Amino acid sequence: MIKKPSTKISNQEIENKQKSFIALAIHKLKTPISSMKLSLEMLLEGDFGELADDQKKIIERIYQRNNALIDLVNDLFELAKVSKKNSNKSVSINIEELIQSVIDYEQDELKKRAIKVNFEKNKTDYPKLIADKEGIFLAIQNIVDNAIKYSNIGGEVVIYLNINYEKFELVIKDCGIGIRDLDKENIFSEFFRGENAKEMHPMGSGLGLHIAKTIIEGHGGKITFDSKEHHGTTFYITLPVKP
Amino acid sequence: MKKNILIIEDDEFFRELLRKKLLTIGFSIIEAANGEEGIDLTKQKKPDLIILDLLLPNIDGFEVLSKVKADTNTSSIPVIIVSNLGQQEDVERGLKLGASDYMIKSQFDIDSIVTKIKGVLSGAKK
Repeated sequence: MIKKPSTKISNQEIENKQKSFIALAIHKLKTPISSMKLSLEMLLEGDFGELADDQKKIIERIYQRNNALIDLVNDLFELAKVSKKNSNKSVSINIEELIQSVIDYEQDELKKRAIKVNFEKNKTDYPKLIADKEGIFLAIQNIVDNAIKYSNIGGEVVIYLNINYEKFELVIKDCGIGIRDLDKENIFSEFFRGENAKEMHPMGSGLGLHIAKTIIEGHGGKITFDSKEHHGTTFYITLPVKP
Repeated sequence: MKKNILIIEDDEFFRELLRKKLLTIGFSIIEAANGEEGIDLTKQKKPDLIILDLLLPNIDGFEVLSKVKADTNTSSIPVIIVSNLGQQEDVERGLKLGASDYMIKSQFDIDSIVTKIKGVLSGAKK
């Protein structure tokens, strides 16, 4: 009997191939949409001559949709990354600094919506969190970004950090539009968006909370929420100090 | 005298848009469509600032940046990375190699790049 040559590929090789394929696919997608974003901005700014009002309105709509496409591509990329185990990316993280960097990252959005963030802590010295820094940043940023986006102008977002029995507890509370009762069971599902959320921000990938949950659970943590429509939402995240 | 900006970018459309905007602002522009050409033009023309893409054919932007910063004749030229690579490790690598700033193509608006260029140029060593 003739033995076939071994074609067995290691899981690591498959993962590496998938990663480079995803990176290439993302780049291929981003190249045209980035140029489109730039050209649409320049059209709107009058760099190619003044536009008539109805032309401007159409270009503005294309611009918004292109931005939504950019967000979708970015979210899909993050999702593809977090679907894989990232234990090899674990580093020692100062969680207070990480949360502060999320708040700093959101400065433009905070200013735009005149929203105040209160970051409250129960201690001055926390142990280091051992985790994938980029992943945890993204998970927290997705929740904080939602809290800001779905708050009413001039509102307040409270972030509370606590440590309890080797677990970090993070509470992110807003006084925004809230989650309708009928949407609650689907809120972490891929591509799901509540009707009131769509009404407030028509563009959105519906992947942010799904990505956050995948990352947090991938680190052995939990994410839950309390919410009442028109009264706001509070997310509760727990993360073990060490994986 | 007009400040001279070198755009190293393989996407012709993106390059054309940047050129148009920066010419309108009052800069003079030179362009390279790949890394080798970018390094050659940097040596020959000594631009006041370089806008550098990272994913380029043959020699990538990180290598271009390393070579520009390793050459004492060109090391003081400020480089702003404008790329679709937006991972934290890419940003850190670019800044560590000596880039003055890092902008992600799909996230910036056209006015912010103009502001960055002006800011970097006003702070650049003469």
